Amino acid sequence: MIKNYLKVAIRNLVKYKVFSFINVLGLATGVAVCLLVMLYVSDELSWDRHFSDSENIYRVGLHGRLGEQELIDPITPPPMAAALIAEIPGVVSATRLQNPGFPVLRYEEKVFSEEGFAWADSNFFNVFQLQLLRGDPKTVLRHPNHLVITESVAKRYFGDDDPIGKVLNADRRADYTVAGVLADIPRNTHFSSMNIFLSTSGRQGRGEDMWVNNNVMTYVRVQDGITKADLEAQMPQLVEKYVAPQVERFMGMDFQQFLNNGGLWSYYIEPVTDIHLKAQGSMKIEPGGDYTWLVLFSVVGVFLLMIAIINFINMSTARSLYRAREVGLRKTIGASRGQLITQFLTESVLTAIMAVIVGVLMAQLALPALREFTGKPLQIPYLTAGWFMPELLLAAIIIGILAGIYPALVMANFDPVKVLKGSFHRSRSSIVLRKALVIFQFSVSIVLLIGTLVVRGQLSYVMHKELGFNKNGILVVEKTDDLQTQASTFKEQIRQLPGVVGVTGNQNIMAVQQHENITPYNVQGEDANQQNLVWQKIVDHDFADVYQLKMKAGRWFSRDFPTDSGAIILNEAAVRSFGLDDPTTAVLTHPRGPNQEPQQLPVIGVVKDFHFETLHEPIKPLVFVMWDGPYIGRYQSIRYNTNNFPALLASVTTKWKEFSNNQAFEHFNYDESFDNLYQADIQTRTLFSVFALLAVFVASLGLYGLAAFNAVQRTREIGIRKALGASSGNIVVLLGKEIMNLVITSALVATPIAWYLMREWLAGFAYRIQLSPTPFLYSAFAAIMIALLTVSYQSMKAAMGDPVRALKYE
Amino acid sequence: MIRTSKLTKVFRTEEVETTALNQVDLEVRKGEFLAIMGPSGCGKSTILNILGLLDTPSGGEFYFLDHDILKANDKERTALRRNHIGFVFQNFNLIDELSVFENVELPLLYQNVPAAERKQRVDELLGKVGVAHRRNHFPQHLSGGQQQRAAVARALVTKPAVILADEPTGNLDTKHGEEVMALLSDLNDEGTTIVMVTHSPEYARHADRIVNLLDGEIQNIQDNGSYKG
Ligand SMILES: Nc1ncnc2c1ncn2[C@@H]1O[C@H](COP(=O)(O)OP(=O)(O)O)[C@@H](O)[C@H]1O
Ligand SMILES: [Mg+2]
Repeated sequence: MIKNYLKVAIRNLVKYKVFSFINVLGLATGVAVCLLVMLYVSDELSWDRHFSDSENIYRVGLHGRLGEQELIDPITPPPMAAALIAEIPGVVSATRLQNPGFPVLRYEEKVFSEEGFAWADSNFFNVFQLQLLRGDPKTVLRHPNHLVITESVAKRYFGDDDPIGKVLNADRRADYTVAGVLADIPRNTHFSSMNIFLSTSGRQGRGEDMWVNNNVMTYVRVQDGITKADLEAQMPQLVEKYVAPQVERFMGMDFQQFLNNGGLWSYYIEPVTDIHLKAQGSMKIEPGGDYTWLVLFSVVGVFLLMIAIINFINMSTARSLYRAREVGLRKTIGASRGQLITQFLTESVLTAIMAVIVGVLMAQLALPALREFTGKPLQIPYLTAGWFMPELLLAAIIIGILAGIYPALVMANFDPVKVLKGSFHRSRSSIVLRKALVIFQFSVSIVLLIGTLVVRGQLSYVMHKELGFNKNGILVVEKTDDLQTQASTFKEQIRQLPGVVGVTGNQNIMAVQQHENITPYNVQGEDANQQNLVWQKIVDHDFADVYQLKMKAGRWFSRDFPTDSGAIILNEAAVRSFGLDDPTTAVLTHPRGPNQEPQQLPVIGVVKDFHFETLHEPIKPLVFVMWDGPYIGRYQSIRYNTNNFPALLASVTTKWKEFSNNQAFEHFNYDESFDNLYQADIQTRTLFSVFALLAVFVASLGLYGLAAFNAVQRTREIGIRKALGASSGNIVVLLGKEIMNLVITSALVATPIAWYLMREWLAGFAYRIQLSPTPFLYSAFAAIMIALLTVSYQSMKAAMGDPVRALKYE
Repeated sequence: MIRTSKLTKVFRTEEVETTALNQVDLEVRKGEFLAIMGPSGCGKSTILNILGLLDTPSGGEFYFLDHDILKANDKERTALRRNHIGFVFQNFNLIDELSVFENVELPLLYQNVPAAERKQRVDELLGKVGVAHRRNHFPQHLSGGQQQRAAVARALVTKPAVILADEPTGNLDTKHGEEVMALLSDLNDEGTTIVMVTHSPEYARHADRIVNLLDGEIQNIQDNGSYKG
């Protein structure tokens, strides 16, 4: 029997080539997209799951509020780990990780600036059971100045020599001994960029008992059965016991009063497996994924497949009339409903299997682009995962059944007497359903089109918005702190180079490497408890010139005023935040100056507001303080004005090599890095565009097929209309109108959905475009045009047809 | 083997109600060749469809091989139809996607007959109706007469208790029409019960009895006296 089903199925596929082609192509597109989305999603979900017992590892974070400033970040005080082990039931161990900076390591003539350098407690490898190739995980980080490095780092410094016992010099200050070698940390680890771990033993002391200094990451490993909620329930007790007294001691504020003033000091817990996608706070060892978008795009992927399935359902029910006679006959001969349903399902499953095969091929072809786009070495696990092939077959069967069951039921219900007599017409309900399905498809397409336009609009707004400073024409040299005492001389010599307008030393690079401090200040003479947390930026005399900030009042720091080292400059937001009427005469108080005493700082100028973070963030109150020591910071920003950038770069490189004893020259163009901040948004734009395109394509495919059947079905009606005097033009309009109604309905369905989604997305930007009707109208218009174009060929053909032949048709 | 009493069929559409059959009492005896005649629209196809369990009566009594059809459900009717009834249509109604062999084989597939037996029976019947040489052709490539003979073979292949033929010669020229009639006559001689709708008094003469239908009612039944029981 099954052989007969297959035979008929194949003959039908071949006979209705256009129909089969549209179905297979549509479904294949859906399958390909779903497969790629799935590869991406399962990769994103795999983060940190490779640790044995990963579900028992958690990270602690701080959630604090002072005044209007709120802080949520995975940072904790140094004594927390020990307290957790000692006082929280169920905690097996707790360990700390800290990223203290980027030292330059040297071994013989090999010199590298290391960015993946971390301090780790001796029990780090007990909590995170990474594969140690050399060394005992229990003891390897126990001794002061001992290092564990990854295999790649070992290769880089020591080639094929045995790394154990080798000594690496850091910043010409300290010597570290390699005690262990780790296999390279799996890519899907939230600290995978870390590759050198230095023992924290011997580093205790300074600040080791400070609960109000939050500068380490704390991880705990718990017993089975202990949950995040269990841990979180224990945290208030730690705050009360340790934090409260220290707040009083070091911040000069009664803790109860701090709370009464709306203050908050609490610790939160996050499972290590959530860090990649759902980490709270913006501080990350490396960029995480975005869970919401992951969900959203999975949904869109599934929708796309659904659109293709709907095409199949639509066309099969439309085509069922062609097969009515066959069904009637089979019933006459003795086929049961079950047998007929099985037969039609065989056909749809066969189509689905073909679609899955084509879809996998399409996915394979698109894979390089996806790899490039996501930066992930994604693979289709044909044979590497045993479940993959059976899963594909299962998917094909499910898709085939989903697509085929409704048409199969419809066809199996045909009344043989009616169909064999020819007095058989399509039922109202199936037409209504078909219309509903078309509306669904076009609604999805229009939502995606609107999304594409809105995302594009917002990004173009973001890229072109006046920032309040000039991001172009700045070359940033990294790791200038490695030059140590030579840094100032280096800066001075760079300034002398032709084409260089100015140089400024920076602790961090605005927006690009965001590590601004948040510091409390209050207006002199006002209640010290009314502290205002503001962002603080340490700058030198040249910062405003190089970045071309504009003064609103007063002046920038000047070498002509030696007292400027004790002065500050505000931005407009800070002026508002402190409520200053005449800012340049104001004095602010910092609660703890260099000698632990409150420090009074006169305001000498106000800078016009500028975007020191991306446009996702509002412009926050910012205080500039002067740094005039010899140490210039990690970066130097060079403002240049030259047509010959390569020559400038070459001369800076030469200077660097000369000063740094041949350390690698690391640099970037500020504007490029700045634009890169919108990488995620640009990806969103690309994804929207691609998905919109695919959705429209698959929906049009279905519409085309439907139009073809429709035109045939209505041949007789059209013939009569023409016999009664309708022109071909009238007929095209008639057929077009119906499509238009469907698409306009879809646009009405899509509008509120898209409006809601886009409003949510735009809410992620502090500076955003207004949602105007334009993208909505454009999308609806585009959808109507695409739909009309899609059906126009069929309508024309039907309209041009010979009415006499058409009337004979039945 | 088939008996109806006061059999009625009413078609209801939105506007009109058509009484296609009115109080029809009819018996078909085993081995009989029955012809149904009457003008177009008098209900011939309707009664044949009801006898073939394709359609259900609106009222009256209907026994098929002692099964009370008015009480049977769709599944039971399908089973009876599958095992005991063969259909031949005016327009042949072969399935275009299946070859001649496969068309004839199809009823056996629905009966789950093993492959070897299927092949043997299909080939035997194709030989009998004279289209064995076209067994692997598709219906479109056969003449009307060949198609109808293949259709007869398909009706016969399950060894049904009765063959129902709705104007089997209606779409055939005289020569091919006579071939098909001769085939049906031979089958009847071999014992197959046949109910045939026809417009042709010529062909009706092959029958044991002729039922004359008018406006859904039996006018008279003409007995040729040839039924041997
Ligand atoms: N499905 C149907 N719906 C409504 N009326 C029908 C249907 N089938 C047949 N009829 C009506 O029943 C009557 C008998 O039809 P039919 O049995 O096909 O006639 P015949 O085969 O004798 O030409 C006709 O008046 C026809 O219009
Ligand atoms: Mg008829």
